[in-house]
Amino acid sequence: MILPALLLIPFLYIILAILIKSKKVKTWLSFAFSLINLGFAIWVMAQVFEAGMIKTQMGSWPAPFGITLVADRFSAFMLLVSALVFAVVTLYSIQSVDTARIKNGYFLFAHGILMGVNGSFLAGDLFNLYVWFEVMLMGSFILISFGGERAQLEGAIKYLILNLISSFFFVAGIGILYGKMGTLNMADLSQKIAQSGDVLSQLSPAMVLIVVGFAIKGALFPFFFWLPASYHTPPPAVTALFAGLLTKVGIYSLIRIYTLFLYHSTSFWNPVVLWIGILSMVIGVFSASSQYDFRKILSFHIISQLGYVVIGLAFYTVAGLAAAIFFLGHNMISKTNAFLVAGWVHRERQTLNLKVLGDMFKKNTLWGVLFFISAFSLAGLPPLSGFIGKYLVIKAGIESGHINVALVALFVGFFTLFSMVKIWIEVFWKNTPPEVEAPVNTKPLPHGLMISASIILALAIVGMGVFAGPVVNFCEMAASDLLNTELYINFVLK
Amino acid sequence: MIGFTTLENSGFLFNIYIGILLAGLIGIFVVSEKLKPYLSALVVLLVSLITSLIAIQGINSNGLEFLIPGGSFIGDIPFRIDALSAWFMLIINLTMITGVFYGIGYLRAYKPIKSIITLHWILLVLFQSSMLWVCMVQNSIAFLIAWEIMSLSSLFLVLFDHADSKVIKAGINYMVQMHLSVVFLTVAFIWVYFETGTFDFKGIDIYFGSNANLWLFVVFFLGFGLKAGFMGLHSWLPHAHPAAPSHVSGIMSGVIVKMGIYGIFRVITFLKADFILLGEIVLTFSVLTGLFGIMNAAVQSDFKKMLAYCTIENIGIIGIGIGVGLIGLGKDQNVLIFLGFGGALLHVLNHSLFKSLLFYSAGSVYQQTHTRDMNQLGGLIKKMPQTALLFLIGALAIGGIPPFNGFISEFLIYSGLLAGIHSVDIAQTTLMVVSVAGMSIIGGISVFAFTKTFGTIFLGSARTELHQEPREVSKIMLFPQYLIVLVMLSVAFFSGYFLNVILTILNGSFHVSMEVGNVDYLRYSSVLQHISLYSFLFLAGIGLIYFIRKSITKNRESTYQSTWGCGYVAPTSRMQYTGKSFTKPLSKLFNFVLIEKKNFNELKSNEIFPVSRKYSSSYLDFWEHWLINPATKYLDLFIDLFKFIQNGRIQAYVLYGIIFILIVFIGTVFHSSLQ
Repeated sequence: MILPALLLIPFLYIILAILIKSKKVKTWLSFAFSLINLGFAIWVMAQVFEAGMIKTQMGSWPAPFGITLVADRFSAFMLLVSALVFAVVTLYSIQSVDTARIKNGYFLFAHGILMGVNGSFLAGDLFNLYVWFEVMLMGSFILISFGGERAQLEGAIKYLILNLISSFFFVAGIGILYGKMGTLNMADLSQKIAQSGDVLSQLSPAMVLIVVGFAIKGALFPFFFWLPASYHTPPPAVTALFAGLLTKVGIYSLIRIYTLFLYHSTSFWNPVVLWIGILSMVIGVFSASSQYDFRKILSFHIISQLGYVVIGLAFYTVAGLAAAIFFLGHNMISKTNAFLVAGWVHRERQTLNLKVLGDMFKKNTLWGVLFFISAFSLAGLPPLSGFIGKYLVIKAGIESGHINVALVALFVGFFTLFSMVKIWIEVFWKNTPPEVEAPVNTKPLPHGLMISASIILALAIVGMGVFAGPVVNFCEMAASDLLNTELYINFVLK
Repeated sequence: MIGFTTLENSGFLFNIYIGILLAGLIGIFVVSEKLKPYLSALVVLLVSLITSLIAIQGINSNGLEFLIPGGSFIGDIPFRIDALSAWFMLIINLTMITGVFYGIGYLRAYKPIKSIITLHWILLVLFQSSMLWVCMVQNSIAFLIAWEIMSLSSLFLVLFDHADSKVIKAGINYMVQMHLSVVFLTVAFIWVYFETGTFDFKGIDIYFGSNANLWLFVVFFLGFGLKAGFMGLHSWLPHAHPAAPSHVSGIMSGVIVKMGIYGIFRVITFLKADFILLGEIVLTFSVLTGLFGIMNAAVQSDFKKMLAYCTIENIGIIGIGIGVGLIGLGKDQNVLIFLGFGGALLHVLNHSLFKSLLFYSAGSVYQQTHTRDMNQLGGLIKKMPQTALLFLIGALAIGGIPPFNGFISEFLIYSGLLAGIHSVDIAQTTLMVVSVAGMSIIGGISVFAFTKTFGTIFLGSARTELHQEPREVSKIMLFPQYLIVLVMLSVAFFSGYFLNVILTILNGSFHVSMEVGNVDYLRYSSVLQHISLYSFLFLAGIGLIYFIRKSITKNRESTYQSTWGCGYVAPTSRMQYTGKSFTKPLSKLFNFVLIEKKNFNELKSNEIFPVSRKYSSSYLDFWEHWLINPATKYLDLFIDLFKFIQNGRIQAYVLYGIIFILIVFIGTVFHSSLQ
């Protein structure tokens, strides 16, 4: 019964947060619940590590009929990393988010997102996946528009419209599938598709719709436009949370349906997904290098780095998938941490425009080091997690004969490094331009909790890099589970 | 492959080295601000000592090898230290030691923030180690990582002066070009991996054994050439070297560009065919590099930029040696190999010595005067006599004038070119003749350029009012420079010893066998020793006359007039010959390469009483002006074409999605109809 707990914990907090008036209690309770959630995620991980997969049938209905919650190694990994990111961002938010937002239920909606994310990772049927997507969307839409600044609303509307379109595509695809196959349980569906060979071509429209739905969620080419248009507007903590969790759920779902349904026609889907990945990688990184806003650069890099994950998927080998899973985990941690640093800069200087920033390294060396770690991890320098991730993707590419793709991935890495060094120079190293008025408050604002949050993630980055061996082994096991579709079907249905 | 011996001992030394490095890095982070520079110097010293021991073992034991566990991904990383690696490691260590001590004194003039100073020293220590790793590792991935750490740490060292936007710009330029270099190298390494399935450098050996040699070598040459600063690939260098603090410029120019040379040599050790063709390409390219570098050096008025261009010239000279050696390998003539490669290797050492000396003394001038424009200086020999002397020694050495060390290596390369003239191939003979001519022009202009620089900075009288009276720099800055002079002289006077070391390197790392002590090779050293001796006697004679004159005139009264006073009643410093006027004829002669840019307002014909106005002129880099700037401009314009895609209109974004869906739908229809 531990899988439903992952849904109940955030839900419980939401109820408590409505009842409790005290801001302080609400805040610390939120952190406590995020830790409990992390504890459960670890527990799930421990169980999955032993058993390979665990499931829960809600209401004791057998598999194709009732609601199924399944956690295989891939889900457990994602649950663990997202729980870690969530706990850290919660800790960070305590100090970073302003009182007005906290009073009005910031943490409540954050837990709404967590519930959606956990649900998506555990969902055993497509319609449930859709529902959890909507839960996540609701929470995130409120958080992104919360505060109601003009720029924020503009970004929020773009975000909402494109995500609603994504949901529309997704649900339309689900409708077609249900009409044809009469089931939405993913294992059941996969089995039925496998048994009735020629049905597949008739299902293409549904599959295309679903893939497009996930691609919008995952901010892949050519659907990524909502992300850079909206991510730089809300408070930094919110962006950090979004960057760590939201798009990754879209990618998770893409991998899930790819290994369950789409693998039948890899000759068609592999090139399509490969090109989506390559173009996301390249266009993301190029757009980033022409930006002059800290968060916008990082946002474009999200697109570029999701491209890496997707090409790992498109190689469709154990090594490729393992690389994709590892990269996904690494990216959630590193990217979130980069946004946390941006949040500190924003708090100190009230702006993230690179042209007017400067001198931040002098202001606080430790934050500079933290940026170093997360930025160079994103750029793929050893001994950080990004190096391992990139190395695995490129190696998988070479081994599966996609040498050109591997080279593109490598060059994108150099551009990433360029952007990161640009941020470093402009924000941390150079002097504040003389025409800019020096910031009024020279005394640093309190940032103890913020910095401890960031240090936790930085340690995770270094740890994932230095002790990569076991993590990679786990990712390889997860990948071979994913490729063995029979295993999943048999486990869920029997 | 050359047989490597595995020694337990060197692995042990290596562990000690890593221990010292880590302890040092943490130590620098922890100790108080005052101690940081000294601790860094200590760490550099210890690291140099231990790695030099490893290097010497490498030379003596004819190559040694040990494996360092690199985790489950890279596998065991082979560290192989043959004589070639050892040679470069020793050069790195020597330059780092002088650089770090000079740096202690140099940075005293700055009062920056603590964190920046800490970062600087940590990076300096890391920088040394990364260069050593580049010389030692023989696994592509580990090599690229070390290479990357080297580029990044040097980048952050260049960026030290964060208040200056030009420095930032130079730094970004440097970073972009270094990554271009990594791109070429990566392509080359992946190419090798794809063909042979191994990341070990042995793969390159296997590749060259079974595939065409030319193109892979060209890709490697482009990658390493960017670091070394061959013409056309050089444009980061004249920006980055002046921008860096002077001890870093000295180290960069002294050794970091040599890492490019090391890479080229390393690839040559694996080369199996196409020697003559590649040799001719490298030779031609290098002669042009040398000419281009020295012409630009001659006309610059920023003296650090001038030294940077001069580095390009010397890379050209080294490249000429490499070209001759390659031709020698192709024709199987040991004399050519010895003179070419040997000259080049020795010139690597020599250049690292006198170029760091020049950068250090130029840095002393900059520290005292706060300007890099030589046309604002003058007469500094009276204020900074020791610095002037050191600069002069460096200038003489770089001009290839005996008894200094530059002469030795240039003599070898000249002899190589002359020996190469005896060829049945008329094209090759012509190339050699042209190269000899080119090299003598290089040498001539080099002397010319340094005459100008030395004359303008140190002779005459001050041209402008400086913010403070310049004084001689501190002892800790002078001491490393004297140390360099000492090494320079020892190279010059014990050239026989150094030539024997070079022979060991050639035997140990290239596929040749040359007897140590063979008369054919040693006759060059005896010639050199004679020349050194006589020129030393000549210098000693001058010194003697100077002292005799001084002791005679000691008790007599003597008056000093301003230089170039020439009996004028009211001489001003503006009457002096400027550096610019000195080089004007040269720049006119070569105006197809040396592009002059003048800034002034034209005098109008109706202006009877013109008010005061300014005139300034500077020289543009030919390649930057005609190739790199237009290319980046068009790239910018090209990227701007795509701006309309991200236009902020949500309708458009939805439209893209719909277009994509249409394409995929059509794709599925065609795909299923095809099946």
